[in-house]
Amino acid sequence: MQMDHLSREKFYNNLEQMLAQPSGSIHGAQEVRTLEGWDSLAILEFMTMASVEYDSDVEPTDLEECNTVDDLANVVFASRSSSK
Amino acid sequence: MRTEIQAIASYLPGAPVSNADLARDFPDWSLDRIAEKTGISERHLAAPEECASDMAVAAAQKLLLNGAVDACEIDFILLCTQSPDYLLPTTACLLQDRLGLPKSAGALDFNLGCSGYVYGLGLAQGLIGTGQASCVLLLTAETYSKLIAPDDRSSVTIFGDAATATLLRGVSGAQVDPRPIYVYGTDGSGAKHLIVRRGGMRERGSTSTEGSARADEYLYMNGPEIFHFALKVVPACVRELLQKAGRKMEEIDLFVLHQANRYMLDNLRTKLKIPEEKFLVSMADCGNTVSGTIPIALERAHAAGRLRIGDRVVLVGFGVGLSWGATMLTWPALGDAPIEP
Repeated sequence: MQMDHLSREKFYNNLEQMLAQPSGSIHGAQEVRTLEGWDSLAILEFMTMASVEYDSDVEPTDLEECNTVDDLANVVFASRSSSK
Repeated sequence: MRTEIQAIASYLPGAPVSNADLARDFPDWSLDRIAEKTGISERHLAAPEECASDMAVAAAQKLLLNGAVDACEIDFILLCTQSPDYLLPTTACLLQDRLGLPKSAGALDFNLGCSGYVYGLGLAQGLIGTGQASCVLLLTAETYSKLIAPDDRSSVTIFGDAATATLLRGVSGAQVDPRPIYVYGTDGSGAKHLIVRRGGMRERGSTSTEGSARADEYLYMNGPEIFHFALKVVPACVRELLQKAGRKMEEIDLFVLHQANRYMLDNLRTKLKIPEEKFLVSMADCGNTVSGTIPIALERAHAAGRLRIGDRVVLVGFGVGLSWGATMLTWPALGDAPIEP
């Protein structure tokens, strides 16, 4: 099941808030490694955000394989409890 | 026969190293953000010549000097450490001599980290409950700072050195002895996520990559994997412990988890739905002292009047191994006992 457009926009917004970035500054094709503030602490915060906002149990190894922001979104969506 | 914690003392080496001190040495580290997330503002580091046994002696001597116990009464020492003075002999044997304990005392080291204190209580209770010992000195002593690369920002900010000494005695005469309740768990497939590869028998030699955060002789920690492990294992462990005890969450007066860092504890507390007033957080001025975090937190809680006779306390240790353990106390006794009228 694919993430719809509205859900994807909300995901970008959640990520912007998590990284304290301006609204609309993060887009799906952006490479994860270029995200401002994306460090080891941010990864922990991302895992928490995925759990709290999306009821998603994201494995660290899944995140290591993500190149873009959309890859992150796909991992979160695929790991949701309701997706299983 | 019940096993009671009769005294706890801790030793923090040297002057504290603050976040401001670290910021001076590493100006490009975002220390404010790290401090906010970890909840750690200071940590203590052993001096270059100061080893686990030195710190353990300092902690134990507090118990001896304040009259909690005489050296001649101790018939067993358990030392939890992953940074022993030597590969051999056993550091606890050195402590028998340095503390002037009887030659009839048993002494052993056990190699565990953040779960070590819970395992130590289990071992002590086993020794006392089977009549093998009556007065056990359970020590934790860790100098992780000697294993951390100077440029490893995560580990330098989180970990601190410390030693603790807990006096456990067998006490007879209770109407109802508490029922020992323990949950243990191990997942060795996660060993690679928190490891010092060199120095043991498998990789004995040393490399020449001084200062590199990835050199095999230094601590390697995969933070996200450890975080993920804790969030998965700890709530299940607590639920299993309560089920074994036949108790509900609301019957527990205090939860004392391994004080890994503030961010992890906040997430665990939220996941377990534990009210703040029943959840101990006590590591801001000493950091993650590995097997020392739980006894240090208990010592401070007791001193602050947060632990009363009969309080039902849950302890949970989790971390390197990967290893975890949980137990219940009816303060100060190990085990679950009905509250006496």
